[in-house]
Amino acid sequence: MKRAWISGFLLLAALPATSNYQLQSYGFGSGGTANSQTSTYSLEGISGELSGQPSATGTQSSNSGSGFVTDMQASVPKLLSSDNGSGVYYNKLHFVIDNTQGSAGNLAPSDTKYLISVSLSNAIVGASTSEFVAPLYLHPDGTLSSTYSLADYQTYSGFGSSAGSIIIGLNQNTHYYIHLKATQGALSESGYGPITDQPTAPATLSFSIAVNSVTLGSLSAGTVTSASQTISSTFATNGASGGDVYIRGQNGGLLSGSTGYRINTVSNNLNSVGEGFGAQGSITGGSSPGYAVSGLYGTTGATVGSVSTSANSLYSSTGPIATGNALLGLLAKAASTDIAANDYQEVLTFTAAANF
Amino acid sequence: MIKNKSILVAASALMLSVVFTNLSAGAAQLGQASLRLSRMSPSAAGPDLYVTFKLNTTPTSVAKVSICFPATKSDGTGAGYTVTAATPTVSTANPPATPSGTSVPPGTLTAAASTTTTGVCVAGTTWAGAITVSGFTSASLNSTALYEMTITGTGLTNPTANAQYNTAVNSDSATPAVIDTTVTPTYVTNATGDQVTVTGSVAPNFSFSLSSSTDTIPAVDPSSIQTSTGNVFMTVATNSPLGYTAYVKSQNAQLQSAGRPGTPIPTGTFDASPDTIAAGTTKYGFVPSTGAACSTCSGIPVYDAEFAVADGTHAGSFNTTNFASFVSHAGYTSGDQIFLKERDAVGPSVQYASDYSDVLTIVAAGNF
Repeated sequence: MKRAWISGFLLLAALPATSNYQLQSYGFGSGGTANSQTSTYSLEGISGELSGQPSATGTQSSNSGSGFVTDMQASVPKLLSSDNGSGVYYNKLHFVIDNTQGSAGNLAPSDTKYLISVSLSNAIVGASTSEFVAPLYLHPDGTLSSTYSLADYQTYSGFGSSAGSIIIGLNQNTHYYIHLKATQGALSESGYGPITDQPTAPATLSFSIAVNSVTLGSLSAGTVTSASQTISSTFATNGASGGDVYIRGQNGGLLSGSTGYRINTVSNNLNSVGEGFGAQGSITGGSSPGYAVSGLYGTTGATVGSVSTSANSLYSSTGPIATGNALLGLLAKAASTDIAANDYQEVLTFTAAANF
Repeated sequence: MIKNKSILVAASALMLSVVFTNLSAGAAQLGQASLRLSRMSPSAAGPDLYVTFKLNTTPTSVAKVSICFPATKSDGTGAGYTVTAATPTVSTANPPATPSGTSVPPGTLTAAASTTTTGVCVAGTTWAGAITVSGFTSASLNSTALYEMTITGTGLTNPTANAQYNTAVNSDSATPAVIDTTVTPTYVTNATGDQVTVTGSVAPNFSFSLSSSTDTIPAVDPSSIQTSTGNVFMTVATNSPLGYTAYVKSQNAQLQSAGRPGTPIPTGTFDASPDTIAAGTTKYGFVPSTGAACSTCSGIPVYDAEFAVADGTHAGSFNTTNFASFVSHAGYTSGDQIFLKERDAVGPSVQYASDYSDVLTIVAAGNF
């Protein structure tokens, strides 16, 4: 900023009128001429004023001190807040711009526009610019890139007002350093404000089941039997598009190894069929909203969903799920002709995956 | 002197500050990625992978997609996956119902598992190895489709410890170099594992009934052979995998008349072969045969040699002292219908009477 100002000044001092600039009036000595302007440029030419002195540290920068420059720049802006969604946002960050200015907390003019710069490092080029060494700039669509244009300057409203806005496409579990600068009306652009250090959350996935064996007991012909134990599971992920718990069977039903007979898995009301085996799920207390039993297994009574040898979604969420508790019940019915054996068995395999 | 001259050119200052940089933003994120292993238990060997991904940056430059497996837990401690060199198989056919709306990536896909991750995985992370899928038709790739593929024969072994592992799905250029990367955590379960064994038993059952308790052989004379009309049949059902066996025992081993006790009609010889019943020759025997077939069963009823009668001129003879098995079914059955008939012939010396009779006892037992 300072360099730009000096360059402009030297240009003005050497060539009062060029193809680029035209000085409407200027003077030396006790003072210049203020508020000279054309439709394209405006010029304040006043001598005897001290310029503001930009300063910067690793975490903040400002233009302070006496002088006319400070008075004529837009106020140096900063973020009011930033967050990673309480540990949910692994690929994006949320922020709100502080649109107040001055010690009195006055609101910045609504046409004030901000440019937001983000970096993986808080290193800055130098005190004179307070620019990040490797800056990325926020675009209106929330993405970052190493270049920017005037279209990337957005108003407080453009950045979501008090609701804030989102930076997307970020790496998980990574610190991002954010600062911004402002421009407003005829005022000169400010320097960058204080740097905010905001990490993204780590991408997470966890899953467990509480039991690894369930006994259906003796199946009497024509009677629907429920397993005395249910299979409780817990699932959590901050995957932006949620995730699923899947179930698959090894045998496609209850298979007797000694006889080779199988009570096939079915999707049906067991009271309506001669024999069958299946599962029904339910979401239990403490689960986050949005965690649901997938359609095949969202049954009650004697109606079950089949557990085929291909994985089927058992529980799912379309968004991040902090706590997903569920129970799976198993039901079976034998026919009188189902071969007597005490080794009927199915092995259920549960897997979980999230959509990041 | 000069520094005391304050000149602000607001608009031009703004323009001058727009110094476009050409700094690399590094690998960006894929539009979406998901990785499902077929097993989540510790140390599981060779889990299959189901991968979905939505490309982001320059999709038509993507030549490969790599799944990078970390050498540590997500917190950087412990040991991660074990990758061994292999040539996995890639399939895009028959995608699972979930997630829905997936697309088959264009190309003829092949895969290689390797401990070398240079270029295909993001540098700076300690990787155990990667499975890299090649053969995409780059020019046909886009950033809107959610592509899917199943990878089997992975040469992969799950970590031993219960933890999260930060696997990554990457799009790579042909060079190769990482274009986009998305950390797609996988999870290895605790000691309970990822499987539940469901056990149960089916109780044995067996049923037996006779349709009637009396049977009548039409009047016989020396010129004929007579067989009862099939008034009596037994029905046997069992879920025993070994089926059942039915037995018969004659009370008297002959038809005898209370009024003419001197000329009974005796059974033949119990010798594992049916006896011939011939007109004019006095003899009495047992002829079982299969009626309606079982609707749910395995195997068929098989008759003992003594009672394996296939024509109208033979009959099995009774064991004069014990129950004799006459039919067995070596499998479960929803219900076997076995007709129980008697057959006789008489010589000219057999006295006339209408009260010749015998009592047959039929029993059956499941073979459990």
